[in-house]
Amino acid sequence: CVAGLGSCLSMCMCASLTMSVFLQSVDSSLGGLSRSSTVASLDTDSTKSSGNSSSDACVEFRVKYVGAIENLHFDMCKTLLEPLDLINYIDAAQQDGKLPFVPAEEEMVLVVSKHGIKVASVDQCDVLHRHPLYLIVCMLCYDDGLGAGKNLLALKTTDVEQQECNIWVYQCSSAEHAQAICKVLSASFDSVLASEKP
Amino acid sequence: MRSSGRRPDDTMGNKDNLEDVFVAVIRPKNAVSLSSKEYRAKAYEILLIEVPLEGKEKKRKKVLLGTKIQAGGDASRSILDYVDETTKPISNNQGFIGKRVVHMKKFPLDGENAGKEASLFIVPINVKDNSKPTYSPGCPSFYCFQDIMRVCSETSAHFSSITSKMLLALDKWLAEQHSVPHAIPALFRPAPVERVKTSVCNPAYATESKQSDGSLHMGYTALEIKSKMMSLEKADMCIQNPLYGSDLQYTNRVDKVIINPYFGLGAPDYSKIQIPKREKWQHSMSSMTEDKERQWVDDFPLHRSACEGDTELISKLLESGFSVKQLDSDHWAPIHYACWYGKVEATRLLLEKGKCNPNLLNGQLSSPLHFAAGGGHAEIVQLLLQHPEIDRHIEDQQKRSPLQVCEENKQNEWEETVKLLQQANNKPYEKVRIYRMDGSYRSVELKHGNNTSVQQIMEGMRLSQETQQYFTIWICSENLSLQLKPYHKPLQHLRIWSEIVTDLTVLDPQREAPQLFLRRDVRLPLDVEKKVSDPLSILMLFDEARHCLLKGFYPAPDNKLITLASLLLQIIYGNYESKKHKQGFLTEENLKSIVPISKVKSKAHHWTNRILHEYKNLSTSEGVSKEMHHLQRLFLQNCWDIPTYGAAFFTGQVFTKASSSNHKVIRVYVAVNTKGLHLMNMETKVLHISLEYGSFMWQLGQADQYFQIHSLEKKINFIVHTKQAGLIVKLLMKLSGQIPPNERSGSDKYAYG
Repeated sequence: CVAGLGSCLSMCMCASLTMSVFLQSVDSSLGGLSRSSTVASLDTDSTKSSGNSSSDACVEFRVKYVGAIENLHFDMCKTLLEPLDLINYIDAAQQDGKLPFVPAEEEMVLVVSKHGIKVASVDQCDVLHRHPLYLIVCMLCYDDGLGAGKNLLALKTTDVEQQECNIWVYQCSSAEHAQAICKVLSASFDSVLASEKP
Repeated sequence: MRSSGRRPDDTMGNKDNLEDVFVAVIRPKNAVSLSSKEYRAKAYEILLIEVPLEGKEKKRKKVLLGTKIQAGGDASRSILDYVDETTKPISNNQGFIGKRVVHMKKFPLDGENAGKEASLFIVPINVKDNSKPTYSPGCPSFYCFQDIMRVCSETSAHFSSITSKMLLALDKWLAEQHSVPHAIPALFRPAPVERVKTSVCNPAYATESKQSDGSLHMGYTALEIKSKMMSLEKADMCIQNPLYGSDLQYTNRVDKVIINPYFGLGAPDYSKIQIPKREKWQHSMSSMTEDKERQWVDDFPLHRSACEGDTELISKLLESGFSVKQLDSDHWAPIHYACWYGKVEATRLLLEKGKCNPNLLNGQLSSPLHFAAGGGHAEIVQLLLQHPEIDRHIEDQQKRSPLQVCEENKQNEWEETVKLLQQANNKPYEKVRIYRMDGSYRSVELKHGNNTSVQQIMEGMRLSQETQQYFTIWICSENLSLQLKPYHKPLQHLRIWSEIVTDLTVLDPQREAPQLFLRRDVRLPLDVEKKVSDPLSILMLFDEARHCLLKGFYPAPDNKLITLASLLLQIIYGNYESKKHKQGFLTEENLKSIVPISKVKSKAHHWTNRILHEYKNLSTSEGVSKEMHHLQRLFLQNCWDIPTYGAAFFTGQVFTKASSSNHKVIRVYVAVNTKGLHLMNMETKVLHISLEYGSFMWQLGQADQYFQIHSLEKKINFIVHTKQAGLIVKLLMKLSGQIPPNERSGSDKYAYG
C-alpha cells in the first residue's frame, strides 16, 4: 500500500515536470512563427506560483472560428469515435451547407489551461466559448484539404449527462500551430492528474 | 441531401435487409477545372456500364453503377469497397479509391420495384491521370460527362430510365455546387485519412475510444480522472447578489459630489501644489463614515440607548444628567429614535423619568408622534396620546398630521394606529388654569397640548374683543413675573420655569412655583386705559392695581394711600355706617386689605381716623356714583399718577458708596412702564429714582449682567446689576418707542411682547 502511494506520487511529480518542460518546448518549437499568432503569453507569475508552477499556467493561441454542430444525439456521438469518422462527418456537414468551409475573418484568442479551453475576443472581453476540461472528449487537428494549407481544429465536447455531444471547429493558420494546441491540451490533461490537491 | 455517414432509414421492412443504391463515380479531367466557378460538364468524366438492351442483341444502353448494401451498416465503407472492386479490371488491378461518399438524393423506382426508392451516391475520385484506360468488356468505363448529357433525356433509349433521371439530377447538382465557394474543391479534396494530423483524447473518456482496454492512465481510471477534472470546476466560494431578481429599481444615487473649486481659473502653478501624505487621505477616505458612526455612539449615548431600547442604560444616563432635549448631529433627540425604532419602554422612560416634551421637534420639524404613527407603532402612539401635554393636531414640515403619515406609510400595526389617532380626536382636551389677580381662574382647553400659544389661550378665555386687547398672559411665580408674547407657548414655559428662574435670578428655582395669569398688558398706554368703559375690563384692572398697591408696588404719598384705602372700604363694605365703621373697625387684619403691607405696621394705625373720615365723605358725597365699576374706575384714576402704575417689576442690585471704604448693596425693584424707569428699594418699597423717557439714557452691560442709567438733566449715573438686564433694556426700548411694538424677534426667549 505504501509502495503504491509512493509510485503514485512520483508519477505526479513526473507529470508536473512534463508540463513545465513541455510548455517551454511549445514556446521554443514555435520560435520561427510570429509571436502574436501563436503563443501570445505564458501567464506564469514566478512569485505567485512558487511550488505549483503548472496550476496557473495558460497558453494563448490565435484562431478563427469556423462553426459548430451542437446537440448531436447520443447515438450519433457513438459513430464519431474515430478521428476519420469525425472528419468525414464535418466534411459532409460542410458539403451540405450546415457548416461553413472557411471561418469568419475575426481572430479569436484560444486559451488552453488546466481549466479547459476558452475562446474569447482578442481583447478577452467577450468570451465566445468556454469548454471545461472535464467535458472535452477529444481534439482533432487536420488539414482542411482546400489547398491553402490551413488546418482545422475540431473539438468534441459532451454535456454533463453525456447525452449529447457538440463539435466545435476552429481554423489555425498552420499545421504546427494546430498541433501545438493539441499538445498543450494534452499536457493540460496530464497536469490535472499531477496536481496534488484536486 | 444526406450525409454519407447516415444509415439509410427506409429499409427496415426489407427481408434480407439489403438496399439498392446507385453510385456515380466522377472525376475532373484536370485540376484546373476544380477552381473554376463556372460549371462545364465537359470538365468531368463519369463511370458508366454498358449493358445489352433487352430483346435487341446489337443495341446497348448505359447505366450507372448499382449495388446492394447492408442497411444499418457502414454505407460509405461498403460503397467505397464496391467502387474499388468494380474498377480493378480497368486500372491495372489497382482500383479507384473514392475520396468520400456523398449522398445526393433518393429516387423512386419503377417497373417491378415500383413504390421503392433508391439512393444515388456520388463518389469523387482523383483527377484523370495520363495512364491509358484499359477496356475490358462488361466492365465500366469513363465517359465525358458532356457527351453523356448531350444525349441524355427522360425518354432517351441510350440509358435506363432511372439512370437518365439520376444523370439529369447529377448535372443539376454539380451546377449548384459550382455556385457555392469551396464546394467543388471540397468535394474532390483528399480523403480524411490523408489529412488527419493529430488527435488528442481526454483520458476521462478513454472508455469511449478504442484505446480503452481497461488500462489505467497515469495510475487513474477514467472515472477518477473525470472527477479530478470536475473538481477544478468547483468554486471555493460563491457569493450571490441578494438583490438579483428582486426587481428593485436601479436608482442612480450620488453619494458625493466634488467640484473642483479651481475650475475655470486657468492653469495652476504646479510647482506650488503639494500632494498630501498618503496616510492622510487614505485614512480619511475609508473610515470617514466609520468614524462618524463611532463618534455618534460616543457623543450621544442616550440617543444610542434610545435606538436600542436599552431602558436600564437610559435610566442610568438620565440619572447622571443627560439631557432629553439634546439634539445629535442629525438634529434628532433621543425620543425621536425611540419612536422611530418602536421602543415603547424607552419612550415611556424618556417621557416620565426624563420629562421629555412629547411634542419635541427634530431638526426636520417632525414630532415623536409623527415618527411613531409613521412606523405604525400603536403602543407608542397610545402612550404619546395619553400624555397630558401632547399636541394631537401637530403638523410636520409638509403640513401632514400624524394620521396622514400613518396612512401613507402603512407600516406594522398601522390600522390599529389609525384607529387610535381617530379616537383621540374625540377625546376632551386637557385644560390649563388661567388665574386672575383676584385669585379666581378659568380653565382653558389646550387644543394643541403644550404647543398651545398665548394667542390660542386668549381666544379660549372668551373675552370680548375690547377686553382682550388690554390683557395678556403672564407667567408668574413668587418672585418673578414675565409677560408672554402672543406666539409663546405658556406650557413650555411652565415646563422650563426652573431654568428660566436660574437664568434670570439668583433664587432657588424649587421655591418658585409658576402659574399663568391674565394680567394687564404692560404696553397698554395710559390714554387708552383712561377710555376703558367695559365693566369687566375695569374690574380686572382694578383687581390688579389693588394687588400691586397692597404688595407695596405703588409708592405714593400718605394722603394718596389714605384716599385709595377709603375707596377700597367703599368698594368692599359698601356705604359708610357710623355704627359699624367705628375706630376699632380697622383692625390690622382689615388694614391689610386696604393699605400697602409695608405701611400696615408702621404708619397705618395713625391713618385710621383719616381713612374712616374720607370713607364717610365718599359714602355721603352725592356726586359720586356708587356703581361698582364707577368706584373701581375712580380707584384706578387715583392710581394712574403713581409713577410705577402698570409697570413690569424686575429685581436687581445697586452698589452705593456709603463711605470711602465700604460699599453698600441695595436690592432694588426696577419698574418699567410706559412712563419710564423707576427704582424702588425692595425692603422699604421707597421710590429712589423715577425717570421719564427722554430724560435719561441706558446702556446694556457686558453679558447682559448689568445696565447703566445716565441722566444729564438730573446728574444721575448708576449701574443696576441684574441677570434681567437684557429684558429690562429691551422693554425700555420697546416702551420708549425705539422698537416698533409689533416687531417680532425670534430670539426673545421670554417676555414682553
